[in-house]
Amino acid sequence: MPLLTSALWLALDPLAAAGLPAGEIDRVTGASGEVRATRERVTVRRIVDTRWPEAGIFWQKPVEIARYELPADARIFARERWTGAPVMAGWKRNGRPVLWTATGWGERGYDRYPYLPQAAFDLGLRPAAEARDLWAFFDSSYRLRADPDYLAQRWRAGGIAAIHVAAWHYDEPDADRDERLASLIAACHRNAVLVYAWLELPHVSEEFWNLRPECREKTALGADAHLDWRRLINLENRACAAEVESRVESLLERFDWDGVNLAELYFESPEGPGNPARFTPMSADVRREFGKSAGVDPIDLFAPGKANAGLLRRFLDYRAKLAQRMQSHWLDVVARRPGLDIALTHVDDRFDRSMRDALGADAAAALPLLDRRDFTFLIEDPATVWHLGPQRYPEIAARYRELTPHHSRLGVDINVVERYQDVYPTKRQTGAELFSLVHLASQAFARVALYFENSILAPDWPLLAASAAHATVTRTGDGLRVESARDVCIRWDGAAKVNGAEWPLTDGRYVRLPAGTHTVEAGKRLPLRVIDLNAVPVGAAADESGVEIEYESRGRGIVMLSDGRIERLAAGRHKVYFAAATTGGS
Amino acid sequence: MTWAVAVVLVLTEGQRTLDEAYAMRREGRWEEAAGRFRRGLALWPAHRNARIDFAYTLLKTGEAATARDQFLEAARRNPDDWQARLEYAFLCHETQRVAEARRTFAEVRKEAPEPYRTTASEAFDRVDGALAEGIARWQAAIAERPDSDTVHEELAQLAEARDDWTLAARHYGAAWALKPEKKGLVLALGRVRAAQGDREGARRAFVAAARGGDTRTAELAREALGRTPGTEEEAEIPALAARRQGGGLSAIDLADRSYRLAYLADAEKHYRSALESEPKSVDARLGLARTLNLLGRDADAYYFFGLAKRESPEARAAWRRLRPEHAFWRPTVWALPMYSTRWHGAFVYGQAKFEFNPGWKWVRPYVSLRFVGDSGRRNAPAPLSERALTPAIGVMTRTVAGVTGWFEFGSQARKLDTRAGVFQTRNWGAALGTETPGAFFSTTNEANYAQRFANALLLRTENRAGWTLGRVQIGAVTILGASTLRDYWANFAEAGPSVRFRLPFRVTLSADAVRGRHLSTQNLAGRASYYDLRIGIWYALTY
Repeated sequence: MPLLTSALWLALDPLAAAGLPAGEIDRVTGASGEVRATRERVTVRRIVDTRWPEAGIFWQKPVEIARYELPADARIFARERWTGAPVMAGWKRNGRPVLWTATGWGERGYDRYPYLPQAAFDLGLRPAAEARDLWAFFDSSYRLRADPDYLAQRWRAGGIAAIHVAAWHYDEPDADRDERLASLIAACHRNAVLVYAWLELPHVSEEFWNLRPECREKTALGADAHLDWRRLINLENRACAAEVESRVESLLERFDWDGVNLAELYFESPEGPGNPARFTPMSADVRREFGKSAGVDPIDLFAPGKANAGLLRRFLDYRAKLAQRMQSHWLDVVARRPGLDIALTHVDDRFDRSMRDALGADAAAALPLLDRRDFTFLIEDPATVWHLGPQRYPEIAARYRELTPHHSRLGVDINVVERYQDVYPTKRQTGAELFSLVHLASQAFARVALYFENSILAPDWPLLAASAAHATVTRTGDGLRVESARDVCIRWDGAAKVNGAEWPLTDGRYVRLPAGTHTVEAGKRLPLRVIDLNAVPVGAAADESGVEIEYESRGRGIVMLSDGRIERLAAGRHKVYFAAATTGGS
Repeated sequence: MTWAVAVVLVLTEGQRTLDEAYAMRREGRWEEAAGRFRRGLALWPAHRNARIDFAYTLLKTGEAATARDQFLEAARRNPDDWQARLEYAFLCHETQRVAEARRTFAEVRKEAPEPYRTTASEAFDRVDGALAEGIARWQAAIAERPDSDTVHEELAQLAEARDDWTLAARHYGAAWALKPEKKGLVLALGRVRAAQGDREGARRAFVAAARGGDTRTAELAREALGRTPGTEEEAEIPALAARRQGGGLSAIDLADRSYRLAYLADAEKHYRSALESEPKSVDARLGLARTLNLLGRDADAYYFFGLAKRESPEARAAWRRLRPEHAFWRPTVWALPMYSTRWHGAFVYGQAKFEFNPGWKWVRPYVSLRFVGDSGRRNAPAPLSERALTPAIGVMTRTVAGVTGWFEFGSQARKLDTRAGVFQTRNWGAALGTETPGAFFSTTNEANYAQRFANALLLRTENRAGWTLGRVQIGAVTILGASTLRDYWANFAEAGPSVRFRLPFRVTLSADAVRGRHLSTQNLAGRASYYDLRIGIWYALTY
């Protein structure tokens, strides 16, 4: 009997999207069996979930329900905001979990009860498979006093392979700050999490903004371009750009980074030329360069009464080419430091076509850079489409596959944020909606990144890794049959044999399997095991004397052994052997 | 005494749980430690050091918002804890609550001793300086281009964070004028007007957001309205007046517009006008009912919700909510079966009552049937133990400050009887069944006159205090009875531990173990002191 399959339709089922065996729970709605409707009526517009009471959960369409009386042993998970009437609860009957809701779950599966998967988890359902290859962004200013080891362990348990650390906070050397970052990186490496420097050029740092006022970018109103939290620098100016280059090189040298992410390297703002107060670039260098070719100062295009559609079109095209030129240049700059895996985070302009003119972001122009340089092209879905459902990810992926043959280099960045649109049931993606997004995104793209780790709510972490996994797991007597297009972790207690051979990639609770079809059965405990691997496993073998693994990794990898050793792995595809004694790998 | 014992038991358990929390903290098991701290502090909320350490433990797990709230609670309990207040302010800033951070830094720099004063002062200057710089920047942008709603909104947000509510209100208003479909702006406008002390302006904004917005905005506006006392105001809308003269809009359109803009007096006028031309219009009935409801005229609103209830689920729900207070008749049933170890028997007291609402201001007539019964052993004195059905007619007063009066004529054993009384019930703290644990105190005080007990006046006060843990209340009870009748059973004082459970179907099970003493020994055969364990079930239903 399949415990989990990866068919697309399952994304519509919030339990399956969270990687839970949806068939192992009974679902009850309204008055049924042990649930009795009283005569009292309640109009539900907002509910409060015990798991995260402060989350504002609103129903787009209010629903009038009866107040229900539940079995005495029912565990109530959510109530109506004003009357306290129960709307989601669960109990067990004959050892089988029962999940009750006052109404249907809604069209998308998460319209009314975002924490259905967590409720099923609390009732005893457990995912069969988990992924270990997610990326997440990290900004230390939200976690100033957190314990780095605690965070790293939590990230790894949530399926995070790499953290992209907001690096602009460390642009200017500072002993205390640098020490904190070094300690975070060390903690990550101790827990098999890789660390990337996340750059947000043309924002460099607050210090640089204050130090070099002459390097500030300008808006179309001629003001300094301090927009939202970003203080934009005029990278078209050679002197300013040279100084920034040396700062970036120093930043990459000072810390033990595993990679670098050049994010959002284009211009402002999502409102485009319609809002000159936020429109960039308009530095003297840009005005001069465009003025030379077009014979007009572009700032005049934004003066009242001087609109010129033809010239504005020309300026927007120039601006998109300028952004592409900058991306190419800065990719070369960061590639000067060897051994770093590189990512370019780029807003989507294929699904939302307005982004090219709004930001100067032109994916079709940037994607050919993959022909000459190896990096991950991380597609960020723009704010304008954050309210659309998870089905947008297969659609976005299809549009990008048409543009490049480097499909394995495409990734997607899911923004988990308070959305400005009128979205339901929650402003920020959480619970079933988040799992649906991650589930479909990880099916459509080789890499999924989450912005950002601090915005993922605590109740979502336990099921995050499962939502990114796609495997069909079938019971076969005392064992399992696993099919997966990607490497995957399968829940399995104790030692394991895979395809009839003793298998060393296990921490005692999960076995890590390469892509393909495998059988898993009980094995014998090996003297040395690989308890975590931050690389793609290709094969493994073990005997009493040691462990051999074959892996593939874009950048450096990490292997954690059961005897406490933590080893760095070289980029590429390699076989390594670890002896069961205290000697290192070879 | 029993109360003191109960307190000691709870605090001992609290300390044990906190000890576990500290042990886990020492081992770096932050998440588990935080859970233990949470449980321990629910039992011992006043434990200052534990709350501070809980907050620091939360910071280790990165839970800055929860830590912030714990520092706030610590500072609330001990206003001189400047370190807690500073931590609260810094965490407000870290969690994007800039206005609260700025306000708290300002308080600390004004009131605290050194070195807190200097730290707060420097932090205040940084936060305030950044806000002032942002405001100046966006003001310059608006001077150039005043037609960007997002720029107005950004400026308004910065001004609100700086407690410059006048500036914030001006720019939220400007942003809303440019982007009327963005109802969140009206909500923000209401918020800053409320902060300015402009109650009526705030109320109008919240009503507009509640009625014209999406579900989320409307719901948040309703919540805000619940916190904003308003005044009624007859206001003219120039635009509407012009259209009225031009005859461009129907009465129902005018009414809906007035209602959305919170011009409620106008809305009522137009809805009534619409009903004159179309008496069965559900929209007009429902609109008028909503308007009357917001105007606080619930009796009229109840009538119009009733007219619309068949076609509109909203009207039906509102009508049901208003029914107990405004229906012509209201049935109530309550029952209290109880077992007493002292009297070795079970008793049941109950009443079924129909109240009528003829529209009188102060009183309502009712008919009732009281029933009293026992398990058969007549160990208790007659007034406490009897078997009787007492039909009666009477009147009840309106409840003011929790006090209600009643007077009735009844017939028991074919004898006419007159009874009267006043009672008061008040509750403070965490009620039974609420999810947040906390202390509670409840008092019930009554004075009853009964003709058949030799015209006696019976006084009784019952006070309960303790701790609520969801569906359980543990605590202590004291009951004092006194009467003009000198009989022992009517004059007593008793106290002891008490526990109450909330069961399904709104049933409450209670057990009181009391030590009592009769204050009069008239007609008393045994000793003046006694023990009694009483287990009873309380059930009441009003339709």
